[in-house]
Amino acid sequence: MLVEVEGATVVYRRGNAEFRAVDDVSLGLERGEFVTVMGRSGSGKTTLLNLIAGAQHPTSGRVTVDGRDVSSMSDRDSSRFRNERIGYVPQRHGLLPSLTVLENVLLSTQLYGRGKDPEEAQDLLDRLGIGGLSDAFPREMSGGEQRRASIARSLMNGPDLILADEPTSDLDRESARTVMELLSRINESGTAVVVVTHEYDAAVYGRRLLYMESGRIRDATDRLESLRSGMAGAFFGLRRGFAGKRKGPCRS
Amino acid sequence: MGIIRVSNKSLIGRPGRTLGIACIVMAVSFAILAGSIVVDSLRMGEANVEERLGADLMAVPAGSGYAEEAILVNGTASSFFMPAGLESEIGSVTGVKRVSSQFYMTSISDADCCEFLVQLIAYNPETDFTVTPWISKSYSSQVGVDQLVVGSNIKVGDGYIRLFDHRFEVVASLAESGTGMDNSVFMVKDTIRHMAEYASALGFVVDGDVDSEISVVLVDVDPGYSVTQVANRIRSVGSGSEVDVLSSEDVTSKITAQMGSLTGYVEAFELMVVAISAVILAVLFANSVGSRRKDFAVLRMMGATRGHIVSMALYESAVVSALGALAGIVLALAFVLPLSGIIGDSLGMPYISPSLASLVPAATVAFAVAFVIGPLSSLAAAFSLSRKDIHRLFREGE
Repeated sequence: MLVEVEGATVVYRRGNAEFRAVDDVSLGLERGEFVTVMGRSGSGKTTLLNLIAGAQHPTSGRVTVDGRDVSSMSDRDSSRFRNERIGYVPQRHGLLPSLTVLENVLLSTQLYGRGKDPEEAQDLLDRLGIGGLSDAFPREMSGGEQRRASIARSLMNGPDLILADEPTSDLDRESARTVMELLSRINESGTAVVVVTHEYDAAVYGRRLLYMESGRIRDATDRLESLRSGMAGAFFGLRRGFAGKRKGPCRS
Repeated sequence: MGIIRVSNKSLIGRPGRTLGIACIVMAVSFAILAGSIVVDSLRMGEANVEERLGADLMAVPAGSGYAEEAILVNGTASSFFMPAGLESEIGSVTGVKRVSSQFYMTSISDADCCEFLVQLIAYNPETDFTVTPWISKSYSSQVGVDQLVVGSNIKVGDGYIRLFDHRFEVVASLAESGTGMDNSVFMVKDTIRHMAEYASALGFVVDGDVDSEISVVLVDVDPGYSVTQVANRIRSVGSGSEVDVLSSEDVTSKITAQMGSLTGYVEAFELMVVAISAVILAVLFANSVGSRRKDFAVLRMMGATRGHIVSMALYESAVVSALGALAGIVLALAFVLPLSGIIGDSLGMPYISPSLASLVPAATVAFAVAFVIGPLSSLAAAFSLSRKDIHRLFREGE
C-alpha cells in the first residue's frame, strides 16, 4: 500500500462553531493506482490531497505514504519527503511567473542541491509536447500549455505519487482532455495518480472513483461506467447514494 | 541555489517594486551620510576658527564688534578704523603679552577673482603672530610689497588677481579654513597703501588712513592673567569708550551654540528618516511578500521548508537594501561634498568639507544602518508567511 489514510479528521474553527473539512476519512491507495476524487467545492477534496502530501496535519488520525507517517513529520522532514517522493500539480498551473518554463521545471530538483541536467528537463518538455516553449514565460503560454509545464515539474524528481488539484479547471475541453490523457500515460508508466476534480469529464480517467461531501468519503467506482457512457444522471446519483448512509472506511 | 535564482528573478522581474524599495533605503543612507558630512564639516570649521583666530582678544573700534565677527565667521567684507596710537596703549595694558594691528579695506566690484567683495587685510610682519603662522604653511619667504596671500575662496588665474584696475602677484593661497578668512586677501601695509591710491585714482573715497589708523588690534594675553580682566582693562584705554573687545571665546562660543542646535536638528532629521523609512519598508515588504503568497505556496508544496521561505524574503530584502544603501552613499558624496561652499554660505557658519578618507567610518555606518533596515523591516512579514499552513497560503493567494 503506497498511501494509507486512517481515520483522518481536520477540524477548523469558524467563530464559535467547528467545521470538519475532512471527517473521519480512511482510504488506501496502491502503487500505480489512478484515483479520482470528486465532490463539490468545499467538500474537503483539496484538504484530503494536502493531508496525503504531508502539507497539512490532521487534527486526528494518521496518514502514511510508503510506510512513512507524514502526519507527524516535522516541517523540514515532510518538506523534503514531499520534494523527493511526491509530485504536486496545483490548481491553475502554479508556475512562478518570473521564471521560464525550463527554470520552473528544474526548480523542484534544485531545492535540495540535487540540480538535474537541463537536458533532462528539456527532454521531458519535448515528451509533453511543449519543448519549444522552454524559454517562454508562463504569461506567454496558453492554459493547457501551462498545465503541461506544471505536470512536467511534478515529474522531475521521479515521484512515486502525483497529486493533481483540479488539473483541468479553467481549460477548454480539448486542453482538458490533453491534460488528463497525459496523466493517464504517466500512470501507465507506474506512477500512482490522485486527481481531485469536480468535473466528471476528468473523473472518468481514473480507475477508481471516490466521492466526497461535507468531509466524508465513499467509494463510487460503481458509477464510473455510467459516467464514462455520459449519463449525467449517474453524477447526481453519486449524491443520492451518499444520503443516509453510514460513512465507513473506503479501501480498495 | 534554486531559491536564490527565484529571488533574483523576482527582483529583476518587478523592477518598479525593486527600485521603489531601493529608493526608500537610499533615502536612509543618504540622510545619515549627508547629515554626517554636514556635522563633520561644521565641527572642522569650528575647530579651525579657534585655531585661526590665534589671538585671545581682538580690540576694534566701538560699535564694530559685530562687523569684526562677520569678517571672521562669514567673510562679510567690512572696514572700520580707530587711531593707530591705541595699539601701543593696548600693548601697555597689564596682562597683555603682545599685540599686532591690522588695517582693513574692501575691494570694489572690479576684482576679477570673485563674485563677492573681498576683505583686504594689511598686517605688520614685524609684530604679527596670527597671520604669519598660516602663511608660512603655504609660503616660506617674506611677503613683499604688491604681493598677496589669498584665502581659499579667491580664484587666482595666472598667478595674479586684479584689484582697483591693477594686477597684483599672488604668492600663496591659504588652505581652506571654513571661516571668513577664506574670503580675505593678506598683504603688508605698503601694498594696501598702493591699493588706496589706486582706488582714489579711480574716483573712490577711501575710508581710513593706513598711516594713522588701524582697524583691529590682536592681543595675546599672558598666561598668568584672566582674559576677562585684561579685556576690561583694554576697554578703558583711550577715552574709555573708543574700543570694543571681542574674545576668541565670544566668537567660538556663539558658533558652538549654533552648531549644537544645528547638530540636534540634523540628528533629529536622520532619526525621523530612519523611523519613517522603517515603517514604509515594513509595509512595502509585507505587501511584496503578501502579493506572492501563491508563489510561496507552490514552493512549499514542491518541498521548500519554512526556512527556505524566510531565507528568500530576507535575501531579497538584503539585496535591495544593499543596492539602495550604496546608491544613497554615492548620492551623498556626489552632491553634498561638491556643494559644501553653498551649504556653508547658506548656514552662515564655518564649514570645511572633510576628506573622502575621513568619511569612510561615517559611510560605513550609513551603509550598515540602511542595509540592516530592509531585512529587519521584512522579518515580520517573512516569519508570518512562513508560519502559515500551505493550504491557507494557496487560499489567500487565489
